[in-house]
Amino acid sequence: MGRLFVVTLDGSIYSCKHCKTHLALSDDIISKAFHCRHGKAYLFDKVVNVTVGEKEERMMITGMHTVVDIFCVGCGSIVGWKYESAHEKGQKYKEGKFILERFKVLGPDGSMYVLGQEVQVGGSDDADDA
Amino acid sequence: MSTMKCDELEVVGGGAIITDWNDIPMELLLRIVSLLDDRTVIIASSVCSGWRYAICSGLSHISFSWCKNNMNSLVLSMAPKFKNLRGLILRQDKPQLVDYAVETIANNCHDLQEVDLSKSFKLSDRSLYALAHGCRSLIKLNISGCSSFSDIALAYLTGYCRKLKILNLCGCVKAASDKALKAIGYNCGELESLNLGWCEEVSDAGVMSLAFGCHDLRALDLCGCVLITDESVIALANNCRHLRSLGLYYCQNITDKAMYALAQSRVKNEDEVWESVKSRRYEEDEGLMNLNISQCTALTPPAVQALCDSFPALHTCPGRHSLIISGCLNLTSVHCACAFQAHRALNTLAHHAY
Repeated sequence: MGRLFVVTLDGSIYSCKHCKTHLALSDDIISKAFHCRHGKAYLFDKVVNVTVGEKEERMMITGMHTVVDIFCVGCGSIVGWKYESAHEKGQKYKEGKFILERFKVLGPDGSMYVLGQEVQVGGSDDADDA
Repeated sequence: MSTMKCDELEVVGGGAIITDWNDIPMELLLRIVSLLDDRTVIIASSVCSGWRYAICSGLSHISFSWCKNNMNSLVLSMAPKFKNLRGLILRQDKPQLVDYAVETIANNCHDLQEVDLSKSFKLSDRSLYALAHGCRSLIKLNISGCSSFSDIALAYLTGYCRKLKILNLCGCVKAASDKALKAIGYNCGELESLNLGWCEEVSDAGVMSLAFGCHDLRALDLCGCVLITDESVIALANNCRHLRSLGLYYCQNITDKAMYALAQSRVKNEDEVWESVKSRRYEEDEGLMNLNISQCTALTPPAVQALCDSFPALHTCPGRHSLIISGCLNLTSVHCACAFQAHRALNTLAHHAY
């Protein structure tokens, strides 16, 4: 494809676990109370250096959503998903926002996430905060 | 201190004998000082009155970015001394600079041509008004990251600083609005380089007024300006004949129409192209040299290949990569002429080796 173009961020940065590409700032976290198959996930307002996949309808704990998977541009690994649209009114706030799975990213201090006991929350991919 | 003597130096033919350390001629002193780091330059200007006079009148460029905690006091004490300053860098890692400091600079250093105020989060419009009144010879201004500036103040500044050639507004979401771009297009006709990265409110109206006003534009970065459509690129292609570098990262509304418009602008330049061929200037000097269309997923290979063919300075080969298509997974077949030839050479070699 040619030379990679990446955006560099300034501040407390979450980066891809495999290739260290900058993904998001901790200032852009909206909620830390999401869950996915691999444990915790955070809802971000803005994420960079990701490319999107195909739209799909997915049933989550909070209802039906249209999501696209997002992939790191550096290594191509899947890092989370983006909410394109929510079918229920109460979930509309998520539209246009991104989920980064904590397991797939390194924290601002470079720390990795170790799978805890909250793994295997049925087959669904997200839960909501209260 | 005055009893310290350095070696006697006799200049043959010149007749000048330097006997004391502070007899050094001003030009020589300034040449030595130009090799020092900025903090030492300021210390040197405090050594004695002779050195202070020499350095303060001869110094043209200085940076205060190394000053982590007391930049304001430094500026307040240094600005009245360095009156002939032409270039000043005040980029901060930790936001410190306040409006009063910038006002002091604007009141003293009227010959300033280059100012870097990037990441000055604490500055307000007062600073821009001060610069407008005090530093009318500004050629290069960097206010990237200054999120508090408004578009009214920026428009006001462009009305006074008409010689602006290089302007960096990266991240100035409030300041870089269509209104401000209209003012820039109207006032700054000599503008050559403009960085509008991450200025999300920029739309076609602003970029078009920029294109109509700034015919000398050579570099424009619209990275992250998501509202931009083909109309902006078409306006740029038709009006800015000297455009060399264009950044359209994440401008996902851009389609093939924009690519063809750029390619065709080269053809419209036909008379100029023949002139350059006649005068035997290398064709690669003309036309687009850098283009970033990463994440512009609506583009298709034929359009981008046509663009690559029209502008020989756009390269996809590893050595001279200047057409950046990161994230456009359907454009992998696009190659510049040199990459294609290298590919062919490799193929012919493979046939010979059994």
